[in-house]
Amino acid sequence: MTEKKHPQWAMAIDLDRCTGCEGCVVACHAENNVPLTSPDEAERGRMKHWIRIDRYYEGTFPDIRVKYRPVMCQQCDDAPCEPVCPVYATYQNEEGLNVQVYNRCVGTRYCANNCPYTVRYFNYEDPFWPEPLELQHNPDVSIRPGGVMEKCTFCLQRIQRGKLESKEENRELADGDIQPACVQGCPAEAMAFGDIADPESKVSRWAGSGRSTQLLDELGTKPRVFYLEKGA
Amino acid sequence: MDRRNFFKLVGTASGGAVAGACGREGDAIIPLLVPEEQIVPGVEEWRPSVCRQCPAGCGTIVRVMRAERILEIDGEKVRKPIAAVKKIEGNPLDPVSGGRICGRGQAAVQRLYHPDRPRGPKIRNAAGVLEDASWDAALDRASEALRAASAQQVLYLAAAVSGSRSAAVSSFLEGCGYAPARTAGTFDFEVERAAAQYAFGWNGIPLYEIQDADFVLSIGADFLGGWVSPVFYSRRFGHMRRGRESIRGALFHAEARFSQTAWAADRWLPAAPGGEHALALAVGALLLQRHGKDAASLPPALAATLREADIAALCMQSGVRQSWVEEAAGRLASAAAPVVIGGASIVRRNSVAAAAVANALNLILGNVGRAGGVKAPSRPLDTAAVDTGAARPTAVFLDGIADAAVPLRVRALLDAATVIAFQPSAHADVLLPDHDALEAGRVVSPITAPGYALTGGPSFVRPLYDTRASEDVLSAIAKRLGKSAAVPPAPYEEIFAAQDGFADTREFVSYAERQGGWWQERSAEISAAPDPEGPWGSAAAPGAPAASAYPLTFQAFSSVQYGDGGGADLPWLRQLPDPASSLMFDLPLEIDPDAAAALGVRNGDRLKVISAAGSVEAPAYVNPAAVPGVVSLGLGGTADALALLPPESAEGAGAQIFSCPARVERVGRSDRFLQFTRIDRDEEPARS
Repeated sequence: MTEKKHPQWAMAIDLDRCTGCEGCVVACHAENNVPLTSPDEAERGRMKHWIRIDRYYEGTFPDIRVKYRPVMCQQCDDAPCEPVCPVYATYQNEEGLNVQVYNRCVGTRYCANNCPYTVRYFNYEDPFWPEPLELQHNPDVSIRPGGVMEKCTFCLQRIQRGKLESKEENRELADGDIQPACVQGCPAEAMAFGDIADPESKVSRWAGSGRSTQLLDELGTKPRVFYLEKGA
Repeated sequence: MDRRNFFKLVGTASGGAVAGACGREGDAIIPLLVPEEQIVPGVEEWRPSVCRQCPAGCGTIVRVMRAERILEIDGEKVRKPIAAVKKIEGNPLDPVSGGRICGRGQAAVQRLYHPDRPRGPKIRNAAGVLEDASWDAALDRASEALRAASAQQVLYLAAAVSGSRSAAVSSFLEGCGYAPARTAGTFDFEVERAAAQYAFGWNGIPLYEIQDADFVLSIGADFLGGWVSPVFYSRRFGHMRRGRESIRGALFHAEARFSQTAWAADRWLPAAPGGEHALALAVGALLLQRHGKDAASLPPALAATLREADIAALCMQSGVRQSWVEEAAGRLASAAAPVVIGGASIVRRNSVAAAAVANALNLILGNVGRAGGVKAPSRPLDTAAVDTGAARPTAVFLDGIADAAVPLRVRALLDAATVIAFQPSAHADVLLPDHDALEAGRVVSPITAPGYALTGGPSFVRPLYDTRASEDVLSAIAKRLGKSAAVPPAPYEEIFAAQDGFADTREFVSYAERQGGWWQERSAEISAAPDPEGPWGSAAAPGAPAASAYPLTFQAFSSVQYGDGGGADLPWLRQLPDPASSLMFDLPLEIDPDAAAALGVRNGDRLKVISAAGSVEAPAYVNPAAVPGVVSLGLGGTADALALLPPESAEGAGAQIFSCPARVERVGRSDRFLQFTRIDRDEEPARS
C-alpha cells in the first residue's frame, strides 16, 4: 500500500474472538438507516444487511466446528465494482474508501453483479418505516431512495465527525478516535478500525499478524478488510 | 466510544460543567443533564441509561436529538418538540458492558418506537377482546380483582431483575399484605444459584474470571449466548482469547446443543441431554485419579464419589468421547489458571447436580478467589419461582415476562385468574402499560458484576403515549385498596452513607446519575464453604427417552436473536439471520441429518413435534451439528417451544425444565425458508 497524505482506512476482524453474535449487524442497521425488508421482499432476495455473518461448518459430527466471518464491503483498492459503473457513482476516494454517490447512481446494478463479495444492496423500492420507527433515524446518514445501490461505508459519517472534532481541537486524529458502529458495539472486541498507513495503529498491528488473511485474495481485489484466522 | 470520548460528547453537547467537585475523574467534564425541551435542534445529547432487555443490566449511553411529533394534549393535537432516541451504545464507564452492547440491546429503541406499542390502558371485554379504556376504569378493574381476592390469592409474577423498580414492587406487596414477587421459573437462574449454594455456600451467581484464565471448561452454560450476562462474558472471552501478550486462552464447552459458546469453543463436547452431570463427575474423577489433584477441599461425599467413579462408564453416560473428556481434564490439570463454569442454559432434571459438581471442580483446582478462577457473587439473588402446585391465585400481576417464556404450568394459573399486566401480553385481562425502559428513569442491580454495581439514570425522554410508570400505578392501586406502601429509598441514596468525598447526598446522587451508575471494586473475598449434604452422589442415567412413543429429546433454548422470546417482535431482530440456519423472520426446528434423512426431510419442510404435553409445528433446519436424536427450538418463533414442556422442575430448584421426550412427524408441506446467505440453500448437509 503506497504512502499517502490522507489516512488510509482499513478494518481487521479477529475471528478467534468473534462469537457470531450478530451485534454488529444490528449496530449497522441502527447507525445507517438500513431499510427494513418484508418477508415477501426477502423471498425475492432483496434483504439488506450491509454487514452479514457468513457461517462455515468444518468437519462432521461430533468433531464439528464452525467459523463465523463478518462480511461487509471490503473497500477494495482494485474494486471490481468501480470500473463497471457507467456513471461513476462508485469510486475510491483519497482515503481508500470505496464510496457510493447515491444521487449519481442510476441503478444499473452492474456494480453488484461484479462484486465477488455480494455486499452491495439495491433499493428496489423506496424504503419504508412504519410510524413512529422513523424517529430513530440517524440524521447524519441520508435515506437512500428506490433505484439506488447502497452498501457499507465504514460509517463515513463517523469518519467525518472524527476529523472535524480533531480539527476543532487542533490536534491530529488519534488511533481509535473513529470507530464504525460495528466496531464500537462488538461485545467480544473482535474488530479494529484505523489508519493502515500508520504502522503503530491497532489495525496495522492486527493486519500484520501471522493470522491475517484477506477474503478472496486470489482475485487481486486488494481488500481493506483483514481477517485474523482462528486457532493457536 | 471510549471513556474520553464519552465524557467529551456529553460535555461538549451540553456545554455546562460541574464546578467545585471532588476531584473524581470526569467531574470537570460531566455536564448537568439538559432538560428535554432545551435540547438544541441538530445537536446531539448523550444520556446514561441501563439496558432492560435481559437481567444482565448493561450500562448504556443513549444518543438523543430534538425531533418534533404531534401529540394529543387535552384533546388537541399539538406539534411539540421531543427528544428522539437515535442510538444506544454501551456505557464505557460501566464495568459490565464496558462500552459494548449486543444486538438485542441495540434493538431496544425499536421497543420504544414499535408501531404496535399500546397507546394506553386496556381492559378485556365480555367478548374476550382487549379494548381501550381510561386509566380510571383500568385501575378500577384491577382493584376490583384484587379486592375480590384474599391476600393468598394474589400472585405477583416478575422477571428476575433487581433494582429501583423491584424495590417499589416489594414495598407495594408488603404494604398490601401480599406475598413477595415470584418468577415464572424461567430465566431466573435458580439452577445456578442452587449449584453455587451447594458448591461454595454462596447466594447468587458466581463470577467467573475467564479473562485471566488460560483454560476454560464450560459445562452447560452458554455464557456467550443467552446465559446470565452475554456482553460481560463476551468481553471477558475476547480478552481471554487474544487480549494478552503470548497467552491465548482455550475454551472447551459441553452442552447438548451447538450453541453460541460451542461455536466459539476450541472443542465442543457434545453431551447427551442430561449427560453434563456424568461429564462433570468424569472430569473430577480424572483430576483425582490420574492427575493427583487433592480432594481435601471437597465435600467428603463428592470426594468419595469421584475416587470410586468408573471413568469409562461416566464418559459413556455423558455421551462425550472419553479421549475428549481426558483431554479436558488434562488441560485443566496442567493450566496455570484453569476455571470451570457450571450452569444450565437448557434446564434438565439433573441440572442442579451437574452445575454443582462442575462448580466444585474449581475447589479441586484451587482457583476459588484467585485471578482467572471463580469468585463470590457480586450480590445475592433472592428471587424464587412460583410454586404452581400450591398457588391458586385469582389475581395475578404479570410484570416483565415475555409470553414466550411463560411455561405451561404458569399459563394454567394465568388462565384461571384475572391477569393485570404492565406490558403487552396475550394473557392480560387488564393492561396498565408501563413507560418504555427508555422513558422511565430506573436503576438496576446487574445480575453479575465485578463488584458492587447499581446502573441507570433518570428519565430523559418524554413518554410517547398515555403510559404510566408502574411504580405510580402500584401506588394508585394501593390507594384504591385503602393500603399504603412505603416509598422505597431513591436509587443511589441508600448507598450514600458508605461513600467518601461527597459533600451531601444530592451531590453523590447527581454524580452517579450523570455517569450512569455507581460501581465499586469488591472489597473482601468470601471463601467457599461447600455443603456436605449437596447432590454429590453418582450420576443417574441421563434422561434418554425410553418410551418408544417419544424416541427423541426435545429441548428449548434462548436464541441469539430473540433471547427469551421477548425480542421476537422487533424488526431488526426479526430480520436478523439465525446464525446457524440463516433463517430470517422465524426460528427453525434443528434436527440432525440422520433423523432428517429417516423422515425424508429437507430444510424448510414443516415438522410437527409432539410431546406428552402438546405439539407444535415448525420449519426444519437440518443442522449438521445437531446431536443425534435431539431436536431443538428457540423461544419466540412462530412455534411455541414451551408448549411442549411438561410441568416439571429441575431436582432441587423451582426452575422449569427445558427438555423432554418427543417425537417428530412430517406435516407434508414446506414453508418458504427465507435464508439470507446462500451457503446451504442448495445443498443438503451430509454426515459421514
